[in-house]
Amino acid sequence: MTFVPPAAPPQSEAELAARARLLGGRSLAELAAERRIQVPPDPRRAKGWIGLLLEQALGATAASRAQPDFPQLGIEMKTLPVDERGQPRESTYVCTAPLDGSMPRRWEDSWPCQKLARVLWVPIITPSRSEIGDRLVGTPFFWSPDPDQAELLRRDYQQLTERIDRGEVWDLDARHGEALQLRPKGAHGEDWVWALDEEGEWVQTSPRGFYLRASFTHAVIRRALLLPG
Amino acid sequence: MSLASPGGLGPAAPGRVRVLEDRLINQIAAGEVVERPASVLKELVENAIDSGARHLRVSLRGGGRELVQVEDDGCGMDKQDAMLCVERHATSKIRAADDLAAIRTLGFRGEALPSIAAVSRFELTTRRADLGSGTAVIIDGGRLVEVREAGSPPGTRVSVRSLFFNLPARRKFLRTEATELQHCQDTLLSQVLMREELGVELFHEGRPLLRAQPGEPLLTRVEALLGPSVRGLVPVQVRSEEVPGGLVLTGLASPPDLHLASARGSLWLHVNGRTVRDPQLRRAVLDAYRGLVPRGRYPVVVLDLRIEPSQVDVNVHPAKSEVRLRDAQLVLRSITEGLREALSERGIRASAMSPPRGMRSPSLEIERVQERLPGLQPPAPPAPPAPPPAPLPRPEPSRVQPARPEPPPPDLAWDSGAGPPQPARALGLRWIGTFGEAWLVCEHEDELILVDLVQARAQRVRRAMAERPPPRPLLAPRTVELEPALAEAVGPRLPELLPLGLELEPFGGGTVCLRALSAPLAAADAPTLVRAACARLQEGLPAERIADRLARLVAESPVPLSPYEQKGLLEGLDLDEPGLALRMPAEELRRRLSRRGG
Repeated sequence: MTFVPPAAPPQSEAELAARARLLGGRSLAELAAERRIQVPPDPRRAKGWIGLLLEQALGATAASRAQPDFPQLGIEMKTLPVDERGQPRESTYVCTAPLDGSMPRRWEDSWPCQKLARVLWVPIITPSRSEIGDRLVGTPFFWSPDPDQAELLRRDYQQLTERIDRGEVWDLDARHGEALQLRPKGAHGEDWVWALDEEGEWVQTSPRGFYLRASFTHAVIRRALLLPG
Repeated sequence: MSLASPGGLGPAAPGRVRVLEDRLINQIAAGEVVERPASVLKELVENAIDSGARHLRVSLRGGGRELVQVEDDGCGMDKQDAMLCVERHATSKIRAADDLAAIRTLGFRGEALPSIAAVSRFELTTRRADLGSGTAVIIDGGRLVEVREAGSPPGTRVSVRSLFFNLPARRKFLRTEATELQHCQDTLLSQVLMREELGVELFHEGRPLLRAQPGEPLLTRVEALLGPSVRGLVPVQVRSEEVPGGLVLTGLASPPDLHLASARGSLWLHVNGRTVRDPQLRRAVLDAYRGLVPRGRYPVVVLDLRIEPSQVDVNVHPAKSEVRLRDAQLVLRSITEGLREALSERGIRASAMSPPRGMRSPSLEIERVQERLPGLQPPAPPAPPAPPPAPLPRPEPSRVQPARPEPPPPDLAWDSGAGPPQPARALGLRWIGTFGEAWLVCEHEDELILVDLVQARAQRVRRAMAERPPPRPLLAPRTVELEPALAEAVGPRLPELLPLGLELEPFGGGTVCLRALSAPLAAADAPTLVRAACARLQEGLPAERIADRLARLVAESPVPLSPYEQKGLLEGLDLDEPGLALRMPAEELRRRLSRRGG
């Protein structure tokens, strides 16, 4: 199989779209083999690996999570594992949520808003118990929140941040937020961050991240693509 | 005197009787005003109309259960009014008790918005055209969350999300998405049908459902909104000076061959522009049609009664759907007589009673059967039609004589639907069930009808494809192997299939890649669809023939249809299509079964 070197950063959204289009319908094993990358045997490590593989295929450069994957274009790439009918299999991580009071009050100034301003969604068709290499790349598509979605995200963000500011982070779980939710984030259980409690005291807690609910991403993909059934 | 405590909890103790909180009052009031998403939509649309809007855009999600949103380009509000309008009994439409006697706006009670806001996640964004910025008011379950400056075009947008989220018991009583959507659609139609000056768009889950341009003639507008099944309505106008201040009834009314099995979707009545479901008015209209349409059938009418506001009380029902007429008998009689006269001037009289379109009259049916069946004497001619219609005579078995030397097989007695006297649409077919998984069994009046399921589905797909829905990207592109010669021949011509709903491109060798597909074609097996389209393209068939073949493939796909979907197929079905439907008049059925039984 021909070796395909890592792609250079795309110079325009159109160039990125053309590259992404060529990935649609191909298996992860094919894409990995072209780049001489080994497919991990452990599905639990799949999430990060798929992201890295696609970043390499598309020419993403941002090593830092604080900026979009394609910083020169202001575009974030998000893989979206879905079943054969296009139903997202999980919620989608957006970014970490600072719990130390440094979170901007206005949605427009926030990380999640900047991350979600322009997204290249790459569905990964992930049948139950499928091998990682057998999974197919779906049709990638660009998305920006429409006014309704932006309002929904803004409202969720403001409600979540208000409660974090009041020191109620321990009361927040995945049930809060219609589109955007706050959930524990951390590869290891021993990761800790500082947060303010209700009395204004500094305490250690597990890190949290902003996630998009699967129902929200389902609505996004349903509007963009023709889903089976 | 002892005072009974609220709720019958026994003798009142001091301090047990309290004035309720505003939020609770609004929730209780919502029980009267807000019954379901459609009632929210009604109130919001009324407000938009009262604001002088020229264009309305309505967006729904989950049948309205998740979102009802109405955007208008009306006068908008400043911050003070925006905050005030969500207060109970705050309205710009009346100021004193005397105003109630001459209401010219649709809303006036000032309780809709606070009631709605009490039981939903509510957001109002509004701007007056003369102000530089707008105002957003956000209320969550009756609790004011935020009032802020907001960028907004002139006009108002109200979004009502998660209706009854804080009243689980009420939410539980909401019906299915499809049912709630139907109610919303009916509500919107009734509000906007006769407002020719108003542009309207309705979207559900982002898909357009209804659209009407402002300024179109009423007939065009009504046909655009209610569909082709109401084609043929005639304009009517009734004037009466007997009623104080005068009475004018204008609109559209159906000729005798256009009538429906259900009152739903048939009577669209308005009083001074306000939609009403008033039983007295309905009766007055139906009385005008007595003898013109068969019993149990409903004419289609879209009428607006213009009457001096002081002659009508609209403050009777919380939803303002009923009215009290000051001189009811006089008004109702004027409507019935005037409408009957207006129809008569158009040549529509009681003697003109006809079967609905697409349904042959029993007499015609018997003549046709008699031509085909052996041993049938022409039946006695039917009694001259006059109200009430005389029942058709049943043919006497003893009179049966051979009519043709070589009789066709008996099943030809089923009319295949060819050659009705006028273009037919199935109106009010009642679904009974399926037979052999290939036919829908339904009835209409005195006919038993079998409908070919595949052909009905194909007709539906063809109709959907005629609107040229653009292809939508698939979840994942599909590659399809073709015969190498076919792939080579059609490769450069694949873009010709784009208008037919398939976005294809060569993929190397004998393979093509299907990237996008129009939604109506989605039910078919993609490789079969692609191969059929490519093969017919190579044969040089015209686009319509290729589209027909694709529609047939979709219809043949083994996707079981639920009874609900089967009933949906019957809506607007064109029964004239050759080979689509077989019909058996009840009279004929009775005759043949009794003959065999005897």
